[in-house]
Amino acid sequence: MQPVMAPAEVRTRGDDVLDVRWTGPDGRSRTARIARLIDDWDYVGRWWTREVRRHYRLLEADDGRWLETYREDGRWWVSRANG
Amino acid sequence: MVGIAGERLSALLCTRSTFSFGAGTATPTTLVRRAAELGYRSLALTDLLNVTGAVELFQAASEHGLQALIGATVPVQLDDRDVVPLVLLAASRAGYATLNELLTHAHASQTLVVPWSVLLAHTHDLVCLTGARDGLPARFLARRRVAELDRRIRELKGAFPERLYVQLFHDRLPWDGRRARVLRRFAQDVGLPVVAAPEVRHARASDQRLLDALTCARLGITVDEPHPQRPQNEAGALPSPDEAQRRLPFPEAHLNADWVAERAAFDLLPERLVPPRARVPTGLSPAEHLERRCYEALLQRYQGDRLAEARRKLEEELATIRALGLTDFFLVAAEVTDHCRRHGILAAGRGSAAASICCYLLGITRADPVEHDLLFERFLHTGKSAMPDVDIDVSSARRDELLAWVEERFGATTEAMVANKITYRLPLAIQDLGRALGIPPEQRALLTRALGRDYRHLSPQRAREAAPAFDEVLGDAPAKEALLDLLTRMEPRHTRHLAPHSGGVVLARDPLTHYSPLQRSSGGIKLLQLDKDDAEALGLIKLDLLGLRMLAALERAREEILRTQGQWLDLDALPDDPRVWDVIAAGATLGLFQIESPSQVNTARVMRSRTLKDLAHQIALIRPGPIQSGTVHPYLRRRQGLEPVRYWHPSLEPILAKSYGVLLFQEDVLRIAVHFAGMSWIEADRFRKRVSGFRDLADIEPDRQRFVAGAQRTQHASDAEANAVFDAIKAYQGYGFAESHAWAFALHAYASAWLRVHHPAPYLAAILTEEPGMWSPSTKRQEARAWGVPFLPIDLDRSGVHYRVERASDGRWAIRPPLTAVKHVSTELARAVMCERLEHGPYASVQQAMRRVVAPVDTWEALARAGAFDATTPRRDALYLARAAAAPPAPPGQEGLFEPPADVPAFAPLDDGERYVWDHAVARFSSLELHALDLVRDQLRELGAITLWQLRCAARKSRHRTAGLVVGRQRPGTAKGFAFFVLEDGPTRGQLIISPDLWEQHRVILRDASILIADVVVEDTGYQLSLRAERLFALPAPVDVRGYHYA
Repeated sequence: MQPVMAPAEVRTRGDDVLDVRWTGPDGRSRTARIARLIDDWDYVGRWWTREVRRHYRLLEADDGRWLETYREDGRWWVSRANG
Repeated sequence: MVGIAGERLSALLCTRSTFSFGAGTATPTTLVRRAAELGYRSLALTDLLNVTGAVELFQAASEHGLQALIGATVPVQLDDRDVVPLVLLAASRAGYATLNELLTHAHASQTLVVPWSVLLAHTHDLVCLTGARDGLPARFLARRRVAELDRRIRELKGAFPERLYVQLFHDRLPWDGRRARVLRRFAQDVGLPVVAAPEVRHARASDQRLLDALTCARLGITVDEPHPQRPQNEAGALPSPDEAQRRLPFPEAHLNADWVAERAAFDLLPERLVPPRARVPTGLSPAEHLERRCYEALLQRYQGDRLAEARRKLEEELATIRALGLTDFFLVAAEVTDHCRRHGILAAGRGSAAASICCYLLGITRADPVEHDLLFERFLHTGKSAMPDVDIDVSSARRDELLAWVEERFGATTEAMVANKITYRLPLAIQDLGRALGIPPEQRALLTRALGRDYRHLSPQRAREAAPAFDEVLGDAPAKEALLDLLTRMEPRHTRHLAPHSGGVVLARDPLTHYSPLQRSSGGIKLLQLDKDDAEALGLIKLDLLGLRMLAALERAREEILRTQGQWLDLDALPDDPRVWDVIAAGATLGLFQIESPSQVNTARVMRSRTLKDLAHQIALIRPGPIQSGTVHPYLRRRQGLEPVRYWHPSLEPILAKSYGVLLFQEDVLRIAVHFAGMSWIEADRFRKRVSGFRDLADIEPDRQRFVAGAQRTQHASDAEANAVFDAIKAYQGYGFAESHAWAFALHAYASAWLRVHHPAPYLAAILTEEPGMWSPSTKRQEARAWGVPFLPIDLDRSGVHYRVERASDGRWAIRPPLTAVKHVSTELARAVMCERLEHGPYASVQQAMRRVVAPVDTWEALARAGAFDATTPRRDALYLARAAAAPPAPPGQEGLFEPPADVPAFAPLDDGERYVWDHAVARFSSLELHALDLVRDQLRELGAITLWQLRCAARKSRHRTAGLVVGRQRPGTAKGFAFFVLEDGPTRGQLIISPDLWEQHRVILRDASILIADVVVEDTGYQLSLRAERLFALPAPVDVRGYHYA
């Protein structure tokens, strides 16, 4: 997977992510329809300056691509993706 | 029995507390409370390499209805490259002993690990979990070392048959879900059960940051540096059973956790420790030997009517000792004091044991309990649940020697010291957490200093009360809020590390690993992982061998008198001397045992002690208990006949007559509980402990009701009378002395006063060497002027390791300070100088000394500054020569390194003021008969300040301006915000009373000033010079003087 670090728009149902849209480094918009959640984890750090609190999800799109997303302060980001 | 709760997790099997020292943030009590709140039934404490929290765990679990399990996380060395942690749970008391043996093994190794072979040999009644992220299966599967893993697991299965479990964990980190599934499949493959055991490191999620900071402090890194051991999220918090279920959705793993909890449940109940076997003459039993020794001494020490009374008391005590199975223990205590006597080590029993006639007759204690009517039941009675302590004060200079003998005599595995749990106070917490936050050392030091006596005693949790100090040093720095936030999250009893107790030694017949692991302190002392309260809860008996500097000083003074005057003093048989009592009564008591503080000096003049009983009372009066209960002033007024002696109830007269109707000693509380409130000795003992330790008034209200009802029933006391007595006992809450203890201390105090009067120079040399008490060498040096003892200069050809006595040129005995009084000069170096001097004669010059003895140049510089070469070389020349020797070697053919420089520049000799400043810079005192204030005397006169000496004769309530060097700062919690400073000017001292308002107004000056100028009102004169401050200024001091500084 390649680093992306782009803000994302995410459609969810309950805790499930349905699709993710973000802008790639080339400026083109990308969308992934999510087939399944592979893994998820939490990160809480940098509490000594401004606390960072993220919930990561590793997702598989219906075309087989993998995406690593996280949610922080109510906003979604794509941190890494392949394909 | 723990029931099977179904799929929800009901047992936490892997929990670390503050006793993992930097790897856990919650005390066992907090973890238990939180687990109970969340509905768990069992909790296992598995701290890293220790079971220090065991007793607290079992007590808290009992209170909260939880099943406690005890275990530990033990790093096991597999081979040269691999160490894996295993979680071992004790399944019985025998399993607990096995665990303790393993932990003892680990602590005996430099790397704090247990070899694999040792583990396999110590598995009796232990349940083994394979460890979490760094555990054997998780780590070896990740590295695909499957064959090796299989072999190790087979060995573990053999060693822990039916007691080995694959530990499942989930820390909400990447791939933890998959990791748990892989471990589960692995367990199925090797035929082992799995167990859900999340690693708990803190009680609540929000404490992750504290765990992170403590982890950084432990690892020696800052928060900006990554490290795999740092927590990445809040998953180390104690999870709810539902969350545990979500993270590890494997029902059998949860059921197995319950099953493990069920099989590992046992109660860590107190057991009677069997004391070591005493040495007894052939043909005698220990009981016969004890009786024979006691009766022989009885006939020597008592005659006439007293003999009958003493015999009755002895018979009762011997019966109690036999009933409690403590015969050997008493003989062992006597063996220790016998050894001390045989080897010239001053030792004396103190504390409640001093009330025992048996201890007196065995020579363990020195105060006669019959003559002084001391209460044996304070020490021991047949119903006493806790085992007695025998406290023996030993010359501090020879305590290590005694401890080495104790270990040799009683065995390496059956003797150890109890530990002290060193809990965080603000300064230590600021150091650790501040370092983790990247606050520079200088700033941390400034902050610690800024805390001053206002705040440094606070627990970290109360850090925000010290906000002015944080603001002063850290201003608006972002680290300030982060640091304050961390500090306030720490629990009040957060233990940082274990250290040796000041003297508590546990001796047993069987290996102590039955009770606790053994480890070595950083100083090499063998320790239990239990503190004194834990030891008491587990039924251990301890012998307190407390190093007492005053005994070392008495011992040294006695030797110095023998050396210089040929007289060997029997310190146990000093004559009663009116001149000694005159000194005590006048309050001229600086340097004397227990009666040298300003409060004691003030009390002395009113008390005018003339007997040992008076002295015991004087010592006991100035303690928090009597002070808080308002005992001091009524006692003193009644003693002077200024008010009538009153009793709360006539039946109390026999108990309180000796103390003029007020509560003075712990024994008074016990006697009142028994004779006034009708309690048994057992009940009275428990009552005394509860009332002396209560935190919340509501906690002791049931005691009040029982006490009042008992007094009404037993003595027909009225409601008001009984309540008045209870209130007095309640107010006595703080620390007070046992009467027996006060008597023991009175004997030392009298001995110190006797030596001060009859042999002032040897005594002064002794207290300067051993440094008992509260006063600095500089203040003692000033006091020497009042005692008429001159000081000789430090001299390389005459000074040694200790302060010694020499004849001065005028024939008086004088003090020769040692080389070790000089900065940088170690005992070893001073010895080297002495040996070289003995072998090859005096040192002729600086260069010659530097050639004959190897020492760093800064040491020679310090010696030159201190005047050690004054006999041969003026100080500036000596300093020049010492520094010249540090210059790079001269080119070949020119002067060598240690050859005298061709020309020493013509330096002006030092004047007295300069000598005084140089002396203080390297030795903290000066042999000159000068004081720091003499150097600014002219300035003080210009400011209109008169001397403390002049104020001694001033009229009471008169107003003056005066000045003094601050040599003592005290702001006791019992003084309602008032502070008491001691000002010094030459050998004259005065107490400065500072009101809370003035304190707030001048907080920084009062913290930092060396010389204070004060506008004062004279409250008392003479030795007790007491001044109420109205206005304060600071004057920079020409020298740095450190006095005593109490909170």
